[in-house]
Amino acid sequence: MNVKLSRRTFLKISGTATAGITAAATLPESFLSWAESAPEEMKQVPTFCELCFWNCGLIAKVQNGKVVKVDGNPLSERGRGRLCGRGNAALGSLYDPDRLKTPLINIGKRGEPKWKKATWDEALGVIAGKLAVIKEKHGPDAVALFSHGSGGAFWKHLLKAYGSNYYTAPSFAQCRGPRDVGFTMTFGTEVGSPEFYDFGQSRFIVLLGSHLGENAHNSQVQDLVHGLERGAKLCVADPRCSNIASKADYWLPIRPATDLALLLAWIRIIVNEDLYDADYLNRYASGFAELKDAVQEYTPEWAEKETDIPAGKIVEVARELAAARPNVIVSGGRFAAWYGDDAQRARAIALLNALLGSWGRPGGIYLPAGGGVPEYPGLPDYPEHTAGIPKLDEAYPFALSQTTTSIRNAAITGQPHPMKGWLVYGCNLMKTMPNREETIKAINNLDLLVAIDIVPADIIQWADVVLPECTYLERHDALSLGKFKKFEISIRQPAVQPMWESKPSWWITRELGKKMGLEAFFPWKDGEEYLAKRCEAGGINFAELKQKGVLTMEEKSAPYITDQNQPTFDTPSGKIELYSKQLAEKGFDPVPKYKKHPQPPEGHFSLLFGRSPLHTFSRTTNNFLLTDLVPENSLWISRKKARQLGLKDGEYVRLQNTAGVKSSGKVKIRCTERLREDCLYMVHGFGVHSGGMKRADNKGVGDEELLAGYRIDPIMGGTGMRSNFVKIVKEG
Amino acid sequence: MELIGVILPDKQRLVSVIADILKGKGGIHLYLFLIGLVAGFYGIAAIFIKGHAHTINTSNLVPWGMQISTYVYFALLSTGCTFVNFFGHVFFEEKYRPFASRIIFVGIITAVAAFFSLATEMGRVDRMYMFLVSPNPTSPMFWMALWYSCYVCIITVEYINIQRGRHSVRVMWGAFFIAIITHSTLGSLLGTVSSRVYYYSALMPIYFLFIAFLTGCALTTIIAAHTVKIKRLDEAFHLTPFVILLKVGLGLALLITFWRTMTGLAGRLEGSEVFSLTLINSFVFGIVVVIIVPYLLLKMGKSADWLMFVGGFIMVTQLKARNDLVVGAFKIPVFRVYEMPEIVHYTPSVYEFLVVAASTSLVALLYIIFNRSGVFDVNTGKEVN
Amino acid sequence: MEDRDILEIMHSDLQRALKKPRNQRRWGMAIDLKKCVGCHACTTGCMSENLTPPDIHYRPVKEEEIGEFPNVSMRFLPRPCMQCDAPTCTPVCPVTATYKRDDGIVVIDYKKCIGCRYCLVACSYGARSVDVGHYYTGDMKGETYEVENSGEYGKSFKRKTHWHSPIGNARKCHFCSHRIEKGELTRCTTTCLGHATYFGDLNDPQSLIVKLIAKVNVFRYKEEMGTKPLVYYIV
Repeated sequence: MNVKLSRRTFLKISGTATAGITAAATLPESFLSWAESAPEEMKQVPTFCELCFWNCGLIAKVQNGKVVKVDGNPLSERGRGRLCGRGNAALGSLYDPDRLKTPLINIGKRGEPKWKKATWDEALGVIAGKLAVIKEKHGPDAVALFSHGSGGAFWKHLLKAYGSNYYTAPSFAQCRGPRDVGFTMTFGTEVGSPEFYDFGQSRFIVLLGSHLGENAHNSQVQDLVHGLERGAKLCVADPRCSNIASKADYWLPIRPATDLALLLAWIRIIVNEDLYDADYLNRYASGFAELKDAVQEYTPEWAEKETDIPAGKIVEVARELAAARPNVIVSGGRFAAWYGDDAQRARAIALLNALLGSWGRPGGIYLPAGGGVPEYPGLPDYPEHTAGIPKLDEAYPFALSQTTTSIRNAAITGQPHPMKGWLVYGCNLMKTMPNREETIKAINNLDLLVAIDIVPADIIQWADVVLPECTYLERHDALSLGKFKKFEISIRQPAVQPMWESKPSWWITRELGKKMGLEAFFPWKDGEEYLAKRCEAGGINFAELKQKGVLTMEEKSAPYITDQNQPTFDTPSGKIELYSKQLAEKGFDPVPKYKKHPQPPEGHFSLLFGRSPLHTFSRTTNNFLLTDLVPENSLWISRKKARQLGLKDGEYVRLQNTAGVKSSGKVKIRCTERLREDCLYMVHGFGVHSGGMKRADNKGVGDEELLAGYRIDPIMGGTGMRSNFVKIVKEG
Repeated sequence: MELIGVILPDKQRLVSVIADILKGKGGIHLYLFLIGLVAGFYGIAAIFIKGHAHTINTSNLVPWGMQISTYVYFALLSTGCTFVNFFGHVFFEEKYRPFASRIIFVGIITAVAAFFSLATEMGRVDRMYMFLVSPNPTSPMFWMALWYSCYVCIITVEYINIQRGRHSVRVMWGAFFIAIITHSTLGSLLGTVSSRVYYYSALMPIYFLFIAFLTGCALTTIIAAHTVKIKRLDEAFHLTPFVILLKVGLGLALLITFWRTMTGLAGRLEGSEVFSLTLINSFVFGIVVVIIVPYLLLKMGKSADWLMFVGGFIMVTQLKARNDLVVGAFKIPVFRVYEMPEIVHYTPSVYEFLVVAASTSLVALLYIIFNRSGVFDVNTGKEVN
Repeated sequence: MEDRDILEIMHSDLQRALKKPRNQRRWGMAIDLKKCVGCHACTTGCMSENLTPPDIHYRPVKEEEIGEFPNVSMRFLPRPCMQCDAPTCTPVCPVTATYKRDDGIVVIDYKKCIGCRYCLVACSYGARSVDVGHYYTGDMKGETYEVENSGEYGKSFKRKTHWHSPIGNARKCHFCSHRIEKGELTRCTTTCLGHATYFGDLNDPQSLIVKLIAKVNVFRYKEEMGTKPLVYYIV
């Protein structure tokens, strides 16, 4: 759904009209009143949010040098003037007294740090020195960057200038990587981030576990609700009745780990009953016959046994879904690293979409607008790479980017080449990556671990140097480029000065670069000049961008397939590959095959996890506005099961996994009707163990602590983290 | 009009009483009350200096707690004293006369002590003048403030009259009726709140009146018994009225508590489950302990000491019963979200207990000092119309 | 319904209403429970807009489960102040600190409120809170934004000590009256992810909100108490 807001309306709705609060000259109304002076003018600064990756445009309102309020920026397609529960709690992040204030150097042990407050000069000097040593002994490729967040662009730039190619984001192997690979194998491209789901025009939407609304993907939630309002039917397959499932026409309480069975059964029904978009497939796809052959064994009756969903229901949904083609979407969701065969499951989703012709059609997956802004002009070339260095991700042939999995592995084993230094920007690795012991082993083999963060997250306990970055309300960052139905550019600019000694990434990397002799790569005077030059090079009106916060480029917008706008598929054959030869060549299933995953042993449950609409994993667990509402996570359990086990609502318990490991904290029981009896559910991100985060420390339990094992997807290195079976241990 | 020696203690005697206290000859109970007073006023000061956030346990879920129930309690005591004064004069003239001035005096100082507790409860006490500037005639609280002021005035006049030996029957009747009006207005403050089922009832003003009578009887019994002991008056003669009044009071309290509980249990309005939730408490404590036990105790003896014990027993249990009454309405949240419990528990903080200590000690100390300085023995008891 | 953003439609409704004299406006709110996804953006948006201290939430969202597994569903019910036409809170205030303004909003005069909390006791919806002076971050003075002026009621109040309003006062949702006067919609309306919150002038037959509530699938919370709330729920 597109918002047609004029500029004048934008100014008024968001309250950025510069009229401000008129200070009516009020005589003191009561001579006994204290300190009630006239309200001051509020300055408005457009920027974009960083409470999660959606980066919705927002307008910060500043008074007396303090940000007092935030409002959404209606021009931003990511938010359309709305901010989610976390975005509104901006001030809880900016004014968090537990924030990192100065650079810290660990003069104790890794894991048991003793912090020495250092100056920037000192801290950066230590890092530069160690990096130089690593470069000499092992070469620059022994240093890797873990990055998540808008300042990461500068760190990537620094790493490449240093000479390493190993920048990775946990969001690939630990989150959406499998989904992106599944779609790439089929359509040649991924589905974007934010995703190109066209819920607003859809007539039938299928969500597999995707709990939209609880994961507040701002514009996506708006689109979904809008689509439902216009009459779209919704089917949600989820062991838990999520918030959005309560609005669904079909909620299928599927047995965990069996989604692929459901998808394959649906594919079979659609191909057998000729419910696919034949025209579309004729023009754009190949491999239909092989696909049809491969799915014949997946009958609805078979699927019923696997998924615990009645066969009749499976058939009914498939027929209803197909009847609404091509304006349908089977959502690929986002977090897909579930059981280790996730790329194939995502491929099944992609195949369903292909069969129904939803790619490039209204209500399906739209074709994003192209566009870009050039880099800062006049930068030197990055150093060439020594040929002959073995590829880190040779193990995962279809990985679309460097996986964290192989970087950690290299640090542990030294294969295929050693890893000696990690720069960790905004990633709480201890809670992100499965199997904490492995991460610790990897870290202990490093010569240098630098953590750049805003709050003292768990990762800093293991760092040698900790650098405090300022929050998004205090800094410039790289431009945010949004490829939606139209191309848009968003600016981040500071609303207030950085507090304490915290600094923005453009400054930290520049100063560090200077110490490393890489000054030529950092010619910008400050963040503003960096952005201004880039805009100049791209022909963008920088002043306008600063004032509005978001600029939208109307040209190159062609979201749907028309006679003039034909899609291209970046696959080896140039077509949608229903049968993937490249997968077959590497020994993988060219059409997904169902693999039965283990179910919980007697007395145990499947531990599922998800998001709270008020939190972004451990990032916000210390945000004082959000902890006022949700201070800890709770363990959802079926009410019937709780009664059987003698558990009461609100009782605190521990969890124990199949390897006998008990959770280090306690979690509150929440009895519900919304969950299958064989599952437990909790919000991920709690169970923080970091004394510096006073509100978050030791609250709730982290599900990642209880991962007895995880499975790596051989196709792309994703770490399946849902095969986690636990039992409840009552506190004695 | 002579103030000193008649309404206020004679200066010389007052000085000698205080000198005795300072020398350490006051008696243990007086020093305990003194400690209570100091601690209590420290608590009050702390509340004003530190603010409610750090001292008081009331919250959005339980907006009224021990401070309000203490205020109600002392208001009850004051009204009760006036009732006893009235019935005492009208029905037991001779037997009652020695105690009249004492009881009215206690009526006045309990009314004043109630205000201390109320002042610590208000968010902005400095704005109390708003009652005069922008009153709201639909508010029971406004009327309560108004009648309360009238009430304190008229019982002061009653006290002065008694002390000067010119006891006006008209003023006495006036005080009685104004006490009824004031206290039933206080009851209506709870009784007219339709959103809290535990409060909303036509019985509530009557409930307050009957309970006031009982509690007042208890306090006045203590005063009377104490006076009888000190002055070595005839126990059987002078204490009979109080035993009768106590029995009547217990009966009235039993009646009203029973019916209030019954009608509450019978209701099926939203929030009525609080009556069944608190049934054990309201039955065991509200009826058996507060009413039946004292009745049995009364049967066991009539001596001054025993009556003092019974009176004290009733007073202490009534304090808890008032707290249950005020806080009971908040046991079930009206709109339950987030981590709000299904049943809200409230425990008063240390400071709230200190406020109780302050009020109690103030009343006790003033009474003891005035009593010892012989102010109450002045009247010659002439009835005047 | 047109595909215009409802914020735009309501914004023009608002401008039209502001042209009328204040006593001819009657502000009301409608919340479409079909569209509310339980994201709690309105709750935190309001906390941010009105700089509310801990434990005070003008607009919490209640989540209710309906039914038994597997026939289960949820209802999300945001609860702002109902701005009742026949409120239970205004008659009990002894100093007329809270009263229903001529444009329908029940306001609290921070300069008059004595903090007796009678209105908290009397509200049938639990919509009122008392500001006792808690701070989120202990007593972090200096950098805290918590003492800044939130602009509530278009006036300036800084929460410096417990002798400064609004500490000691009752507080509640006031339909962002400071925003309305400037021609902006309430914060909860503008931040609602599900586009479920509607706001407008109930006296204006052309406004979006009046068209929405004139249907049979509309109810008001606890209507049987006779409070005549001005917040409508669409199911």
